[in-house]
Amino acid sequence: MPAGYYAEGPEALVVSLASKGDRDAFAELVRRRQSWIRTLMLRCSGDAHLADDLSQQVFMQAWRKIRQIKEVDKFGSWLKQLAINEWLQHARKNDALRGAEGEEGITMSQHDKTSIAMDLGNAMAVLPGPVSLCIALSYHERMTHDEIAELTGMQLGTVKSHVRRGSKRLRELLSAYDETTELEDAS
Amino acid sequence: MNNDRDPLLESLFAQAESAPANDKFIAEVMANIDKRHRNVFIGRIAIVALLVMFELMMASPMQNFVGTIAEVMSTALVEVTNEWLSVAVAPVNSVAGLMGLLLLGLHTLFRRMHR
Repeated sequence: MPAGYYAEGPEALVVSLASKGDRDAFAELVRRRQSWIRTLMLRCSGDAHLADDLSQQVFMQAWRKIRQIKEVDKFGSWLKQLAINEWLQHARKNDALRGAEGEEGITMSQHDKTSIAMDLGNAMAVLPGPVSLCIALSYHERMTHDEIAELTGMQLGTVKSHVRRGSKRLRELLSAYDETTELEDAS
Repeated sequence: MNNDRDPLLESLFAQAESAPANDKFIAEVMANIDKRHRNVFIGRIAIVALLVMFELMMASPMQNFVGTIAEVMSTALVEVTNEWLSVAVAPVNSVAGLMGLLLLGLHTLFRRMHR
């Protein structure tokens, strides 16, 4: 196949080729989706290294299971489901270790994209795994509570509670940004 | 709370930097996939080798065992002197026949109990 064949092809076609065992097609899918999955994992975990490790696992799972995919045009939501399962599995094993640091609130460093991501990550790392997942899906993926409940298998009431509690905790931890916003609004 | 989001958090999530595209990450995923393929292949070879070794080691004892079982199973329970009668009752007049009847009875009983 020509080198640019996969890069230019529609995703459904690339997924279809990958599901038949085409390694290069799968590499193209990783290239297209890696940033999205790694960012989702980063929002959930708040740790870039952990996010990359978990994303690796997600893509490994995807390669193992891609032959089973039924709707090739829904690869994105299928992959997101794998990522959520991976995160919840990780959270079940490691939740006791989360939240040991950063309880006292985040000191805002600089108001740029990298610093915000870092501060947000530090704040998210304090939340329990399922709570940070609900927050990430609500704010980062902009999913509704119903959609989150359906995708994660949690009860709707639990999702609502996680989002409410998580948002409150995040606001407390990121209160430095709140004050800056107020100052910016006043000026 | 409905699906309304906190405006400050919404703004922070929107502004936060995403994980940048990383070629090294893709290379690592593909290297792990290749490594897994290698491991699966080696694992299969090892299983086949073990089965062959087992077969070589156990061939003679297994044949003896099967021979003994076949002999025991076909042993007549009651000695019938009449040639024709012996042929007629042969299917039930053996250890295997008795076991077959026993299993059939248990199966019927099980079906009646669970009807």
